[in-house]
Amino acid sequence: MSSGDAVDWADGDGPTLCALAVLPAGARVRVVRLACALADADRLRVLGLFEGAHVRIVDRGSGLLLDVCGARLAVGRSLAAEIMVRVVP
Amino acid sequence: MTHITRPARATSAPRPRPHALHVVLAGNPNAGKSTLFNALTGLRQHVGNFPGVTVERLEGGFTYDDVPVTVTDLPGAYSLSPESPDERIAVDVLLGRAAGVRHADVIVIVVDADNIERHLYFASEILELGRPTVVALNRMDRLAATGTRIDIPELIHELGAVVVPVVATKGEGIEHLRRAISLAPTLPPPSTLVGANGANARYAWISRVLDACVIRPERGARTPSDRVDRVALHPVTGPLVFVGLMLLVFQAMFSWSRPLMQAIQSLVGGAGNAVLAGLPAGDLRSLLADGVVAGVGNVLVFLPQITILFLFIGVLEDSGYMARAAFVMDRFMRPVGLHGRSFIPLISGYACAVPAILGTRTIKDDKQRLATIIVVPMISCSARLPVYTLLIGAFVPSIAVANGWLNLQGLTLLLMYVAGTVGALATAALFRQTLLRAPTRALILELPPYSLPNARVIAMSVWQRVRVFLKRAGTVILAASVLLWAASHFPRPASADSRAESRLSQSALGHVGHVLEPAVRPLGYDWKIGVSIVSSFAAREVFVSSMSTIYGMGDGSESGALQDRLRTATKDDGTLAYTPLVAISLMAFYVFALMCTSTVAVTFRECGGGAKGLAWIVLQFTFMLALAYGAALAVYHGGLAAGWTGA
Repeated sequence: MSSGDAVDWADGDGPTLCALAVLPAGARVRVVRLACALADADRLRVLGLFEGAHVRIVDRGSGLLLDVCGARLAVGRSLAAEIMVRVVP
Repeated sequence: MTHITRPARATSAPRPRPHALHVVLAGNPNAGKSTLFNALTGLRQHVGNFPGVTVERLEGGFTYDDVPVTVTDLPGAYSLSPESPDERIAVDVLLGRAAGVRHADVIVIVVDADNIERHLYFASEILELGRPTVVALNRMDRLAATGTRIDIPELIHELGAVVVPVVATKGEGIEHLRRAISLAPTLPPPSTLVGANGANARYAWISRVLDACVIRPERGARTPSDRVDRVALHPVTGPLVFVGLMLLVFQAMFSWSRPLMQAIQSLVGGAGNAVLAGLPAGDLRSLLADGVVAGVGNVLVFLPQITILFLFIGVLEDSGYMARAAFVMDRFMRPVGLHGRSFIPLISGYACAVPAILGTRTIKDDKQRLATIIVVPMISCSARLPVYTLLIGAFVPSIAVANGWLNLQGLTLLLMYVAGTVGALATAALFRQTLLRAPTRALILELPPYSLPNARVIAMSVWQRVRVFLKRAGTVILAASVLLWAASHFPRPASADSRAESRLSQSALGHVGHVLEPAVRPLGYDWKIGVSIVSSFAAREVFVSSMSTIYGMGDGSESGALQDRLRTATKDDGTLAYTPLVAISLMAFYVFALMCTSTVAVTFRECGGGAKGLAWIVLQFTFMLALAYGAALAVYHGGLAAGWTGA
C-alpha cells in the first residue's frame, strides 16, 4: 500500500474504503484503519486520529493539513497513503 | 466567568499547612505553558537542567499566603506514553520516578480551552494518577470568537478536580490559580475517569464529557489561520515565504543593529581611553586597555545583532510559524534523510548549537537524532557573527544591490549562512547513507493556530539567551583575553627598545604562531590569524578578542577601530597583510570549523557519553576541520586562479 491509489475494498454498503492521501481538500472522513508503522499509529491515535475518529481535510500541499478535534494536524503524504478512511457525506 | 466553584475548605479534614509547595506544570505542546509559567512566577525564574539529562528545566516561584511555592515547567507531552527523550522526562517527573527530582506536591495541567477535546486526553491521564491536581483552562478569551461556551462547574464535576479558567497572556485568573494551587493538597485527590485502556476508549469518554459541558457551534470550514496557511504551506509559495522571512532576518541583523553597535563601540572606545588617560604607562594599563577592554569590548559590540537574531527566532516560534516552517521544509529535508522535526533544531542552530543539540531530544528516531546532532554545528551560530561581521565590515564594501533592497555586506553574510546550511544538509545526506542508514520516519506535526506573539514571553526568552552571551563575555572571553594578553607580552624581548611587531613575534604567542604558520600559510593566513584561530577553540568570538589584543598592543592604541587596523595592516615588505580574498577564505573556514568547547561537551553527553560519545565528537571534530580547511583552501586558491588578488 505504498502508493496513494484508492483501494477498492468492496464491502457492501457505504462509500468505498480509500486512502486519506487520495481525497481532495474539504473531504470529511471517518478513520477506519491505520495501516502504518505501529509507533506512528500510536502517535496518531493520541493526537485524536484514532479508528472511528471524524477528520476533515483542510488543505493539501506537500502533505495534508487535517482538522482533527478542531486542531490542525499536518501529516506527510506517504503516511496519509496508509490511513484508510471512508468518506462521510 | 472566573467564579470558581469548588468544595469548601471545611469538607475535608484540615491538614497541617505545608511549609513549601513544589508544583509542576504539565500539558500538551502549544497549551500556553510557558506563558502561564511566566504569568505565575514573574521574573523569579532560572534555567537549569534535569539531573543526569540535558533537557532544559525552567524553574520559578511565588509566595502565596506566606507559603513559598516553587514551579517547574515540564517539557510538553501528548500522553503518558512518551515517544521522544523530551517527553520521557516530563512523564518521569509526573510519575515521580525521575532521579533527583522531588515528587510534585501539586500538578497543574494546562489545557487549551480552544482545543479542549485533544488536550483532555493527556489531562485525563494525569488526573488518573490520583495526585493533587489543578486544571488551568487557558485561552478562555478565544472562546468568544468561535462561539464556544464551557460550563466550568459541570467540567469540575466531570473531572473531579478544580478547574481554573485563565488567560495567561493577559494575566487573568492567575490569582485564582495561585489560590487553587495552595489549596489543592487539602482536597480529595481525583479518581479514575475512563476506566478502560486505549485511545479510542479515552476519546469516547472525552466526547461524553464535552457533550455534558461544552456548547460548540459547528466549526467554520476555514479559520483565519487556515487562510494564512493556504499561502504559508503551499508547495510553491510556502518555501518563498520562508526564504523571504529569512532574508528579512539577515537584513535586520546587519542594518538595524548598526546604530546600537556604533554606540557600544564608542562606549568601548571611551572606556579604553579612560584607562589610557587614568593610569600610568605600564603593564597594568596595557592589560586593562589591550587585554580586558579591547578583548571583551570587541565581543560585546555584537550584542545588538545577537539580540535581534534571538528576537526573530522568538517571534517566529511564538507566532506559530516555526511549526509551519518545519512542515514546509520537510519536503526538502527528506532527500537528505532528515525530517521536518530535525528542522527546528537546525533553525535554533542559527542562534546557538548548544540549545539546538538539546532540542534534538524531540526527535523520536535515534539515528535521525544523531545525524541532526552531527550537522547542527555547521549551521552558522551567533558566535560566528562577530567573526563574519568583523571581516565583512573590514573587507566587503557597503554597496547597494538589487535596487537598494539589499546591501552587498548583508548579502555576503547571507552567503555564509547559506554555505553552512548547504554543508549541513550535504553532511546529513552523507551520514544517513553510510553510518546512520535507516528509513526516515513519517511526518506528524501539530500546527498551532497563529497568534500575535506575546511580548513578555519573547522578552523573557531573549533575555535568557542574552544573559548567557553576557556571562560568556564575562567569563570565557574575559579569561581568554587576559591569557592572550599575557601570552602576547611575555616573555619580554631581550633588547629593550624593539618595535611592537618584533616584540609580539618574540612572545609566547608569537612562538606558537610561528609553529602554526606552515599549516595556515596555504590558506593565505599569517601567523597572527593562525594563533587567533587556535585560541578561538574556547569560543569562536575569541578570534575577535585575539585579533584585538594582537592589534591593540604597541603604539598607544588610539581607539582606531579594529576593522581599520586589519584593512591597513601590512606585511614586512609593506604590502597589505589581508585582502578581501583572505577574509572570504577565513570566513569559509569559520563556516565549517567546530570551534566551540561548549558544543563539543554537549555533543559528547547527548551522543551517550563514554567511549561512544568520544567516538562521535572525534569524528565530528575532524570531519568539520577537514571540511573547513578544504573550503578555505578552495576559496583562496580558486580566487587566486581566477586572478582575484583582491587588493
